[in-house]
Amino acid sequence: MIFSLRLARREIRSSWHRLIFFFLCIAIGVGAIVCLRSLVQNLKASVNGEAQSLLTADVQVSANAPWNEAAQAVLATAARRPAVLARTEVIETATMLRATDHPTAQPRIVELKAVQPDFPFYGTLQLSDGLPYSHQLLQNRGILVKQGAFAALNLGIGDRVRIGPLDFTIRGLIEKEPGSTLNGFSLGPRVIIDYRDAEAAGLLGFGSRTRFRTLFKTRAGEAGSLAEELTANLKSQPSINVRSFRNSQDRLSESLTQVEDYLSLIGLVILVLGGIGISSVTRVFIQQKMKTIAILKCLGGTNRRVLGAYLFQILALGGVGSLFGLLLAQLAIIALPGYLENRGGRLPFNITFELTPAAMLQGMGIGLLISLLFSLLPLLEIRRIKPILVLRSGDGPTGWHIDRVQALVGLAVLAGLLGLASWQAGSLRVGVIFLIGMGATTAVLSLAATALLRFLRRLRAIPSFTLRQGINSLHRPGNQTRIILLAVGLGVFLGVAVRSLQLNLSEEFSLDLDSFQADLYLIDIQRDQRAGVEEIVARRTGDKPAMIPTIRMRITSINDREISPDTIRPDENRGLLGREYISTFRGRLETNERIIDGRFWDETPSADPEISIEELLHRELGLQLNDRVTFDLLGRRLTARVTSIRKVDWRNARTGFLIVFRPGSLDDAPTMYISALRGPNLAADRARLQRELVDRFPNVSTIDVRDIVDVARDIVSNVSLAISFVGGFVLLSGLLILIGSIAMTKFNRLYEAAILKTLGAKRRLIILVTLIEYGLLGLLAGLLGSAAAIALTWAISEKALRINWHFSPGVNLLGIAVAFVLVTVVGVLSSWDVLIRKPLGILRNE
Amino acid sequence: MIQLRKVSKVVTSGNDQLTILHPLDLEIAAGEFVSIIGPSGSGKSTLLGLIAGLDAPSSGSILLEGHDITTMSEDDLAALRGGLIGFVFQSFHLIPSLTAFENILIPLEIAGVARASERARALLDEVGLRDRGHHYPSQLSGGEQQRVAIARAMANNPRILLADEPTGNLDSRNGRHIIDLLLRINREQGATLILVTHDQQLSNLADRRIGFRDGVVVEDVKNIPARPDPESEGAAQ
Repeated sequence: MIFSLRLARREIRSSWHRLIFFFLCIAIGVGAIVCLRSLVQNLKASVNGEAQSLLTADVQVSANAPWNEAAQAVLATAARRPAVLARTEVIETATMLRATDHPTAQPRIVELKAVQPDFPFYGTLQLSDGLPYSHQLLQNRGILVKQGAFAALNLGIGDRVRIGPLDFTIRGLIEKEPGSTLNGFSLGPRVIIDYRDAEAAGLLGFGSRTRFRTLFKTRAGEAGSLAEELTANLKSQPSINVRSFRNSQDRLSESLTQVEDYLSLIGLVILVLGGIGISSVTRVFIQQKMKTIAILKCLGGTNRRVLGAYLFQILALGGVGSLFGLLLAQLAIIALPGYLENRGGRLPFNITFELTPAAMLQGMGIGLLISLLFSLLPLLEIRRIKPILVLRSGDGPTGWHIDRVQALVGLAVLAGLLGLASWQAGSLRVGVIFLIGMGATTAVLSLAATALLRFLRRLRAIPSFTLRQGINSLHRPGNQTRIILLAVGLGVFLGVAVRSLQLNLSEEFSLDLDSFQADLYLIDIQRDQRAGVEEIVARRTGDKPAMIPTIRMRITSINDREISPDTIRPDENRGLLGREYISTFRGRLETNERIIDGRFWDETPSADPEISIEELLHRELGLQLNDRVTFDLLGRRLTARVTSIRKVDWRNARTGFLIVFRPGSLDDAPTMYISALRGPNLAADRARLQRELVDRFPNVSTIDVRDIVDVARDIVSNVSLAISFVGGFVLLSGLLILIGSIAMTKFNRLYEAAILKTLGAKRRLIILVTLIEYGLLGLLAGLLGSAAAIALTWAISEKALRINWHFSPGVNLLGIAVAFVLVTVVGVLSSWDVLIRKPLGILRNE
Repeated sequence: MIQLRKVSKVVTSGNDQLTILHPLDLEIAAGEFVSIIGPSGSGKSTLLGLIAGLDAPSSGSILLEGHDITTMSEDDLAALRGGLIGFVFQSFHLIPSLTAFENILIPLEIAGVARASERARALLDEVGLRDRGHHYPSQLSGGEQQRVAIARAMANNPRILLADEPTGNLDSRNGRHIIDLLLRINREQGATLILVTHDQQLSNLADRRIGFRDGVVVEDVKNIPARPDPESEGAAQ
């Protein structure tokens, strides 16, 4: 043990530079894992620290409709409990906002929040320029708007905006709002007004998509019992949701844990790739150390001790590499806040960016484990090195036959990797999938690499000496050609695949906008507004818009079995049973629908309620033909019979409904209309149409698909950026393996070049051979990655996303070019020694 | 005492069987100085490798001080070598990544000898390289490297010293110095010295000379009377 340690120390002193890239592979992977994990753990700590301000209260009761009498009574009783310190009401809704002083500007949909004086119980509403928030700002028609949201109109404090029939004055710009959640998708920017103004503006009218919240502040430790009591008392009203700040904290922590685990897998991909590199370098390293190992055995060193010495070396380098990874992670985390700010990123609460001890410990452990797992098999070759080598050279271990120890260790390594992946993913299933996925990708790419190299070998008969020599060099013993192809190819693959997918998605969006489909949705049109809206749209666009009636409803029973939170069985789809459905009635099928069972009714209305359900409800809820489903339509019960099952092609859906009624039974139900139309192409005309609609019908909201597509494009581009980043890392580790392999085979190269020079080769020829070797390597890697990317993007586009696949020649060519240039430059630079050293010294040393 | 009984070595090369060493019986007494002489490819080095347990014979048995090494495991052989045998090679075989001092330290540390550093320093002194201990092999001349190798071979006071063409890569002056050192170990410490060479003059220095040709012993001469004083001029070459 001591001998092995000492030998390891002495050997590292002289050969660490040969293994430096080994250490970098580990460092980058560990850095990624530690940085990502720390980030999410920082986020979690903030969530836990500010859980109450996430909800802005201790307990929240919310619903999509105003409180009915029963609910009001329950809330009033709760408010009288001594444990409750205060109660306040909040309303949230989407509505249209116009800049009063810019009569030609297009109205915009905004997410409005109306609050009472006590809001918020927890957290602070931060306004720009350090302006303190108080409810007084909202009095006398004051409004706060999201900072930067109306930059195009240059709206600032003092400007006037109109919501419904009311004019408001901007009193502050919202910088950070407590209680906003982490999801970045919203219909429009946030604005805040006084609660009473919302009523005055007519925003609480029946049917608009409004969320009503009652917030309670309790004595410390009483939130849980209040939430339980409220849940129990409101059980009969499944549409009402009760949450304590603990619930939301738990939910968020849980999803953050999942995020953390998935992010760690990304780090693990980089590390495993580094591990493959480590394995190949270790093999070459041991080959180079064959003589030394033979001498050690001659001098009495047993297999165990010699193996131990080299294992310690690998572990020491793995340890130092992991430490270096911590340093990289630290640097990244220092740079991160600035980076986020530059990209306009905003986080809902204050986060301290720092490496967490848990993440650092894990990173170190994983770095060491990967070093161990991936070097173990090549290290076992030490056992095969015979001491007789000191008397006769060329008696090295021959071929690759696997003995029992190797097989057992191989299995142990696989088990170790599986354990590692499962641990990182937090699930055995994901671990298995990860390992199989990695294995399959590696196998496919390495098979392709082998095939390409075989093919190249056949070209060795070509007459050009330079070209032949370049190709031959790819097959030099100890060259990690296949591994480099694999790693660089994988990097190109990730980069090209992600970029192509992004392009495909963008193209699909644009196509959707250009083809004859709706790009403007009008919602919340009331029955008596229908004619007016039709008239405006027809006048502005020349087309009579389709008006689709919608009715909100919930399922209360199926075939006389009552459906409530208590009666839903664990094996049933709670989400589908408990949700609110927006249904319609019509006498014919849409073009994107077809009947798969039963018969669709004819156009004649019938007072006998019949419904047609989408296949999803048949599949998930087990609803069959002739089943009786009872609905609650805002207090009224209605039982309908399933007479057909439809399949909706959601891809071509302007609108799609899970439940469609036969006309006749819903005539007097509370109905709202929505309209999907193709708006004018010119922005000014679109603005004019929306302005007129908002002026006449303030409660009608317009959703402009063009705005949403922009938001979606932003999200897609952010995700692409993240994945491209991983691709970049993978490419980098490929280049590191390249540098490592060149360093490892340097002596062979030097020797070969020296002989060529002695035989009359000029330096130019040697440079050319080197250029051809690495140019070919880069080109092959690029082709491999690009081909794999084409296959993947095709599969994802056509099979998973169900959008049309477009070939993106530019991206693929760029990927190939990047691999070609990088590998050539790195290869030639790392071989610089070989190109410039004088031959005599090298031949003498041999 | 080294005993070889019906030892042969046959290697397979492709489809051909090549006999490197024909069945051979040999006994070498403790403390004896034996030279093995013969042209390249005659089987000298193979014999040396077999005696050291670096290679296994195709048939026969080899006994070192009564232990049959042909039945020992790889690791037992290594342990035996560490305690019993010292090696000197034509191409020195120092570990390039270790200093001269550390190269000498290796067998001592493998054997777990107490105060190994002191012993290694004394050995460096003994071969006249006191000030060169911190140099790497590549920074030493051939003669110096071979002296380090001898110091390493002497480290554990081996009872058998095997030298494979130890002067083959050296000029005559350095060669003589090396032979002097080997003879001193043989005489002063009573170690059995087996010296493989193709140098007739050098072989004449031994108590016994065994000649090889094509894997067969062609000569086994004992008690060469004219053994010159190794300290005197012209002894080595």
